[in-house]
Amino acid sequence: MAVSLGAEYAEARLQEVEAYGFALRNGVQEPPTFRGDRGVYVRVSVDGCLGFASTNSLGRGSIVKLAEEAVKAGSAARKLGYRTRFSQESAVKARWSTPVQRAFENVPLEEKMELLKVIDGGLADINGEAKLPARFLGYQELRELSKFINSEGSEVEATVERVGFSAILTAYKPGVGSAQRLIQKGGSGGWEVVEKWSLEEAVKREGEVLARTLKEGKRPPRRRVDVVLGPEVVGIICHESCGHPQEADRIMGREAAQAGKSYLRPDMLGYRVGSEHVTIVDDPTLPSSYGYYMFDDEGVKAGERVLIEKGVVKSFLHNRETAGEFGVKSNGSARSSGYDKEPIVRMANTYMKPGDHRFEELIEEIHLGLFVKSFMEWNIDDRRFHQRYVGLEAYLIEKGELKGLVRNPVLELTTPGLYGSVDAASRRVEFEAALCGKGDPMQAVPVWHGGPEIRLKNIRLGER
Amino acid sequence: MKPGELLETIRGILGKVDVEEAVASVRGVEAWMNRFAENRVTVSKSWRLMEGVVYLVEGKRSLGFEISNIQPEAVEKAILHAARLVKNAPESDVKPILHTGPTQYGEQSLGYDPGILELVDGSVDMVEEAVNAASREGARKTSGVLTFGKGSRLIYTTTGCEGSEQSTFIEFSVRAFYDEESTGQSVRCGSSRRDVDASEIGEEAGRTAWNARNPRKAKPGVYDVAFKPCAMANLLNSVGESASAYAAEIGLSYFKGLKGLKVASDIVTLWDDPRNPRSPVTSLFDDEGRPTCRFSIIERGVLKSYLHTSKTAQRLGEDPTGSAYFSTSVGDMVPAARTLIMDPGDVREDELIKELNDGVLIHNLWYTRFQNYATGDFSTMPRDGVFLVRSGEVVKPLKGLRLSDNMVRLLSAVKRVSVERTWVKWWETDVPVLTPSCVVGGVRLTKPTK
Repeated sequence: MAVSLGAEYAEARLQEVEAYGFALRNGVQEPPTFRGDRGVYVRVSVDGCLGFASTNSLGRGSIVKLAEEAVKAGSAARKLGYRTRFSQESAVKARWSTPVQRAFENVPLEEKMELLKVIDGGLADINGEAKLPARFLGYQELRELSKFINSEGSEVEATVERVGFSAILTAYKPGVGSAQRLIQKGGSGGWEVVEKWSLEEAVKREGEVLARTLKEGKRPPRRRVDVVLGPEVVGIICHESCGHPQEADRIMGREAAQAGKSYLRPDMLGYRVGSEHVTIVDDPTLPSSYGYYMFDDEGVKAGERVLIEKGVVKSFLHNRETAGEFGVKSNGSARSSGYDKEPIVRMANTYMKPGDHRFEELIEEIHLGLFVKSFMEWNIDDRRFHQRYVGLEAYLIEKGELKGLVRNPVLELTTPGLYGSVDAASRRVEFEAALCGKGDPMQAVPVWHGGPEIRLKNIRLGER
Repeated sequence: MKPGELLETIRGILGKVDVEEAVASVRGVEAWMNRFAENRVTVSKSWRLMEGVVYLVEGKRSLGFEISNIQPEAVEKAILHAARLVKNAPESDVKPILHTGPTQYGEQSLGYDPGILELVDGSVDMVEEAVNAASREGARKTSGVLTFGKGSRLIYTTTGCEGSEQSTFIEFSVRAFYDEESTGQSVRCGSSRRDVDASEIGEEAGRTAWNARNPRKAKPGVYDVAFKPCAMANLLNSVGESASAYAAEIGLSYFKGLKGLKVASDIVTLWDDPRNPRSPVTSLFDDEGRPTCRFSIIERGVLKSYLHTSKTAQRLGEDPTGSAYFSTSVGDMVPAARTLIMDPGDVREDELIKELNDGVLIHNLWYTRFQNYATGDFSTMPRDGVFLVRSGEVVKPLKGLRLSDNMVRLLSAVKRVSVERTWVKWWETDVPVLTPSCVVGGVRLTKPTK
């Protein structure tokens, strides 16, 4: 239809979502809730100008109108429009789904809700003077069915099942104040994903550490120190200062007015940004991951993308739009968060490759340093060059041994300053879940990020 | 299907199920957007969407859901499912109290300008006008987004409330670049085509980008800072979120326990004004059917009121404020600000820099994140024009700074407030704000150590 109206390219994506969720507020069960979404978008290229239209009115007349609206939008843009050249990709016919061992519908709602009660109960009997007066626990599961077709003959059907858990805990100690911890878990699959998280133990440990940090945490050292970062901190670093600046649409300026641009230019493949210990990849195909997919939302097969290899910028994240501009093939990075959002360049599961050290080896040579295991506050400038992570669970290292807790150590570093300081990484990799925001209207997509423990040499901590 | 037909469908099905009380609302929107970058439109978009929200009450039990799968059989299946689930839902600590009528809101429009819809065939011209204006002022590349459209909200409660409202909206955000490090941003929004002047926005953004060229590395420290409207809107959005009683209950507010106490300097007064006809987001009623109203959150520096639903109000022994909004992430009604308005001050905008004397001028803030919501400790990134001010004169543009401070301390250190105010709503500021520029004393600015 859209092609007959004048588009040289057209695609459509139908999406249907069923989601269930519930929350616990300070031990009180909030009502369970659900969501049922169903809608479609059409995206076209008219003389290289992109038009996009979306609706959830799915009658035949409405769909015909939708195609007309998309072509009209693309046509109207021609006066001032950027001429997009999609990369040439092979047409595919595929069907994929996330593997599920124990379907969500086979687990009674009462059992799921009881889990939050049990977790919250574990937080109530934390030993110590500090208590957790504010606790919010949330759970959400969803099943998403989608069908993508384009005018080149591609057809991809997907069934994705995904689950997420989040908690925000506030510890309070009279005379000292408060501290907070945000916990996020996410994965694709069924109830077996939740069981692997061992949430009761994991959240109780976080609550205990939070209370201890408040009670025992000392000021961080002011002199230059070596800093060991845990996988959670390494993950957010990889996401913010490697994944985002290597999204090709940011490099092209496509996101300049909102999420911003990049410190990297198109000609900076091969540019050294870190030490030889830094290799960072993005891989949508990691089993059970929160950002899992086999084909992206332009019908391109997904696989691992090496972003930084031994400290050198190796590749950018591309959809067909940016790949065409750069003269390369898409590496399957197009994602749309819903039937009302255009597919744009996104990360999936971004992480640093492991090194060859044991954790003990990372700290044994440190005379005075810090181990920052988790964080709370973070941000980065819109060129992804100037970043800050404020530690939450953090320990002093003295003469190669972990000592007492330290409160709110601040890492405020440039991207090359950070990656250039890495001199070792541990052998194990862990992942954390998050929702990444980008695009306009805002699109939140599920991602994992992670890595090994890494050691940074000679760091002066920032100020709070 | 039109929004009214969807509401009638829901209403008909509700009549067949056995629940104590129910509220149904339908939101419909037709919107258009031009995104542009590097002086070119990168994509033109349009939407025709509607969704229903149904909330059922059985004593202290309740259950709500959202549905955009608007096929009648899907809507019926969802309502019947919810009606079964609510009977066995856990009891809450208090009973939701829907607004009790009879209340006929009728068919009203607080802010509606059919002229906005004429832009459907002319919005690219508006983008071009802004790009050209920015270029005239010295910008080399300009990016941004123009969004406009019309919306409708309809409500029906089994407790006797009915009504519908129509609105129109327009939001224009322009970010101009002299080079990668020298940028300026200007934002306008409103309910009428007349609220947005493309040339004015382009000129402002372009002029700031030109003035911001060749920025120098700054010395970290404690400065008096003049925040322009985009920067203030970012801070005030956080204040609005913190004023939610639900946020206070779950530890996400720096205002918990401070009602009736000083939380800001005497010259700070902040309102939530959902019925302001100039706002791009107007609301006659909240999602519990209660009429919205203008009320002060902070009055002359004192925290006067939290935003409430019927449930948060009962838990704190206060009155609902007509601020209920159904949240799928909570599964219940939560209170939320709809339009934030800060009272003007007595200093003309062009005198504000002289009043600042020595300090830093910040046009915009971005990426605000908290170490602790309960204390208000946070940091954020200044951007789109950061300037050093000496003896009341702008002397040079700066780069590489981060603002790291405490929100209540900032509010308490507001020293001057401008007479002029600007409407701001954009990607980083999702609640519309009418805000002046402000001078705040003793703001901590930091920079990277390596």
